[in-house]
Amino acid sequence: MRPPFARVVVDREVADLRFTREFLDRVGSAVPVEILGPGAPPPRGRTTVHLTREPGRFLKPCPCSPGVVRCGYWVLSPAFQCPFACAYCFLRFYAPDEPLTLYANLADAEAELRDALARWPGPVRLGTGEFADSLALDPWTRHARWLRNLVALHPRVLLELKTKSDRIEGVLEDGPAPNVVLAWSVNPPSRIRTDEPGTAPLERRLAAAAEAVRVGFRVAFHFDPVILEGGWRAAYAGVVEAIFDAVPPERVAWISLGTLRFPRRFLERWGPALRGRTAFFGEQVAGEDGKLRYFWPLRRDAYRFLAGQIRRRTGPGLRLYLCMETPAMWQAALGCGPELEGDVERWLAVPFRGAGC
Amino acid sequence: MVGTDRIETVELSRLRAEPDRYSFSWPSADERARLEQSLARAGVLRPLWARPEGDGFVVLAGARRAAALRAQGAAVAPVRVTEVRGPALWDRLLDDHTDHRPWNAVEVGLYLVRRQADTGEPLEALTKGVFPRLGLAPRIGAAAGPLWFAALPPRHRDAAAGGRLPVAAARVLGDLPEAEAVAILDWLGRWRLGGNRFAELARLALECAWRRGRDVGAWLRDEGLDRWAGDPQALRQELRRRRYPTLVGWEGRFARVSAEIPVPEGVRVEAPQHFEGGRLRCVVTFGSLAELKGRLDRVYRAVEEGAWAPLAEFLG
Repeated sequence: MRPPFARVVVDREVADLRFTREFLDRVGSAVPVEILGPGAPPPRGRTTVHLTREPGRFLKPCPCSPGVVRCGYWVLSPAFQCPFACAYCFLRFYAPDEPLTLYANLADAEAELRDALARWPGPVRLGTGEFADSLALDPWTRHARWLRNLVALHPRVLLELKTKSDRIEGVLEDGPAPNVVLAWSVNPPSRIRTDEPGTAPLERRLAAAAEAVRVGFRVAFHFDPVILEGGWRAAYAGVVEAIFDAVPPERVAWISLGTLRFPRRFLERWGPALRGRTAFFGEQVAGEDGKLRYFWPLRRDAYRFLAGQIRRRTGPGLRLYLCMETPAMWQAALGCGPELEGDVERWLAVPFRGAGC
Repeated sequence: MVGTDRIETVELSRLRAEPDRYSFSWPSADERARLEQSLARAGVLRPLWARPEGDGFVVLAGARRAAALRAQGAAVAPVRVTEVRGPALWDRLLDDHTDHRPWNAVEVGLYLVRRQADTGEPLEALTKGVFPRLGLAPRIGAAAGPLWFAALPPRHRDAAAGGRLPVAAARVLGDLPEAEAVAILDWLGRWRLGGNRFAELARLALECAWRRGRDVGAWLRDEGLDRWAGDPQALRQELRRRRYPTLVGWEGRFARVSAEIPVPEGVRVEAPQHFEGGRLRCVVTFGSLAELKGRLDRVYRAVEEGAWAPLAEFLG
């Protein structure tokens, strides 16, 4: 498999760490490798892998936004930056020229996670997909295997590996893990073609999901960002149909819904380049957290529509949640809402049963 | 005066101005007019500032005054002659300006551009020592606005120096292609707008144009908005109608519905911004508890009788 990067730059201080050696072994002679001395300027650009040390914390709670239902998600970040170039991705705004950064001091991450595991009282959902795609580089990083081994003895931790790729071989080869969920962000095929360059097409994502289910994994899907443009209803209804034609509802751990949102500064910085891309110039208005979101009734109606389409195929039991939305929106769109912080977490992490939201 | 500086009376014909090298002073049109009147009435009150070069002098500060004196037929002017160069010279020019006039954003930007070109100092090197003396925060991003104003065409520099262009313009237009930024400045420059209003109108127009895949100047012409005859408030309404058709439709319907339902005196029904949250507000004003009870009773009866039912469409 051809790597999605053109060179590897290794900080001298991490050159002898185990992760670095194994990563370079897997890459082999496919791309040139450079060693970076102390004080040298770090590399730039998303076609370069930079192996370095994470000087700060690996594990952070999802920051969510003020006023929204907090998801309680914990993010472990052994990597930063994504080889894909999705038009709406916040990384495009915050880190347009950062390299594909891989932190080689994974022993520090393990120690942090062990400390957290001792502190966390209840079920916890843990993911790596906030600042990087969980599986896009997995054939070379083998992060998935490392993570599943880390959480294997902690059944109350539910590890979610979220991706837009179909690179699941490394996850499947060790067989199913009850506390690992493979998740895919989904959008209509036409949207994937125009706005998610480099990612796997929908049919390949769903084929990978079907294969994961066949092996014994539970899977999840994220309709995020939902973009309300043109014939979006028919397009998203088609995605729902395709999902449940590929996987049985009882193997779907959860589905999240989130509409397109971005900071105002995104448009000021990228607006001229997005000229003619009507998706970015819909009726998005500033919310309480300063982010631009679709006008409230448009979002509510979109969530109601998608929830209706999903429940038509799954019945009421499937766990459906909204990303970065207020309790009022949960109530208006789904007819229910977790009242307390952490409810979402407990509700998603407990074994599948009965009615859901 | 510092060190070896001296005052000489110099023939104006021996003074050479290099405005793109040293001049960063950009007074507003009003100030320029006042300067010329003062020169005509009282002559030069503050010596020009120059450095010997060849058989003449290069003007470091006062090129505009030298030109005005020439225009008035003067032959000589008092000149402060200095040999100082490099960062030390620019530090003195900064202090001299600060001693005589407040800085405007154009001047701050021009000072930084000219100083860097003359001394080769990187902008980062100026953040700690120089930025605070220019009224800027000691971080590199603080210079973005002034540098943007300094790069504008002269007519827009004039507008900025004269306070007719809000500082917010740099934030909203700073990342745009120059042609689009200038189109917005030409369009909104006819009004004296506050920062928030300027930013809102500019964003609305830009986002409408970009949605259509157009350049904003072309879009304004296509829509007949480039020569808007109404006031800025009406222009805002017109732009919002194009940018947010559903939202504006809701606002109109809400205004009609809330005007038609029976609302007791002292009671107001309001929607939050953008109807966010699917909630409405009922505001009751009262001067006594008895008055509060009376007004709440009337609200309660109206709701019970279904008179407020039309509001349901605006709720979650």
